[in-house]
Amino acid sequence: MDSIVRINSKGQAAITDAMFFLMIASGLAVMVLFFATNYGSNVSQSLHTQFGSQFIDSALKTLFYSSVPRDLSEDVSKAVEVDYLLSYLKEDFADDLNLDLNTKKIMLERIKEIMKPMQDSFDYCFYAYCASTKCPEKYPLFILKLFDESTKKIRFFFCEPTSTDKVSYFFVNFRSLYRSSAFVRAPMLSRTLTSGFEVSWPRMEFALVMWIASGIPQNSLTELNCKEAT
Amino acid sequence: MFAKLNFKRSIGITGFIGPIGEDLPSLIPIIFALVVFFAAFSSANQSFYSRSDLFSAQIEANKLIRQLRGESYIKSYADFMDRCNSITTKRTRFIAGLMDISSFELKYLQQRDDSIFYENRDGKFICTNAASNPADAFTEINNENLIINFFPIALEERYAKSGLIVKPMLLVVYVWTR
Repeated sequence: MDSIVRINSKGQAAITDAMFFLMIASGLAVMVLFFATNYGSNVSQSLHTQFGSQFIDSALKTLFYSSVPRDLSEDVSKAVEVDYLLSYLKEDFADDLNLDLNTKKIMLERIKEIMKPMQDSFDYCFYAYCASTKCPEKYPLFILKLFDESTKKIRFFFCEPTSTDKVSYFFVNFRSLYRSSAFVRAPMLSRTLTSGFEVSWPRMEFALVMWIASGIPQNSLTELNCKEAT
Repeated sequence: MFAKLNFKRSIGITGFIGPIGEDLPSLIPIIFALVVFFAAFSSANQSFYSRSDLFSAQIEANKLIRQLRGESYIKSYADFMDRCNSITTKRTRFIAGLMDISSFELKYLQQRDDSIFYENRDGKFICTNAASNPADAFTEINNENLIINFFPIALEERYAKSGLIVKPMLLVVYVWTR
């Protein structure tokens, strides 16, 4: 009887060892699978981010390189005189440190055209920021494109933010932003008593910012003082 | 009774099937553990190598696209073709072309033919290293690791009235590895 009990104990000990081995092997298998699942997630995210950054960078350059007719009633391909869009912007800004409605509309149409491939999935905004104290408005141009989830429509706005804080708070609503900026010296004409006019060159920032469409953040349109672009 | 005791003893001493018999049940979890571990390892290995290949392809594609894109400005048809011809890759194949951005729709990217690409009097803005005729290159595409990227780009064109204008276009690049 004793020998039967001892021999049965050896068998049980072997099975227990085998179960421990199974436990360890399973733990290792789970670790290996965990590593395999997570491998490259940072690299993958970085590559996706790179595409967004490169797109927005190209979009801003293309926007400023593109031509506009000097006579806005003409089609650009049939116009007698054309100019770069950036030159046109600077020219409009120089006289009264502001952009008139025609210029804003041209900018809106051109941005819509260039951002068309991304408009279904991404929202974006384009703004001009004047840091000089002589500028009557900090943001002479602020175009916003948002996807309205309630009406399922794309909407465009012209906004007039009164401070950089309000713009920063607006961007905080979105997780990842793709941004491209250009700092430009815009000519600014001002009258003087002696020589008539003088030209100064305040720094202006033009920025195009894009993010994954996620609806209209609450109160944002009021905070930024936005009106729908018709 | 004596015979019964002997019989029980003989069974108890060596196990049911012999010396290995007492260890036989413990072999099952050991073999199961080994199978599970090696299956997980093999699956992870396969996943690792396929992702590494994909990342290498994407990095190669990014380098190629950066060369084609340049400063987002194309001076002429000749400039576009020079950029295409300057690309040298061993494993990577590409088709690059310009599309009219104002009439662009995402479904055009699924259309695998050269009719969607922009053409002017200098020629059709499409190039490839996958075939001698760009129209045939679409049949060479490997859908398993195909990457499609697109970027706005400015194209300079000569016009009779104004001299030259710069139009926004879309540079579309299909990249895959053989």
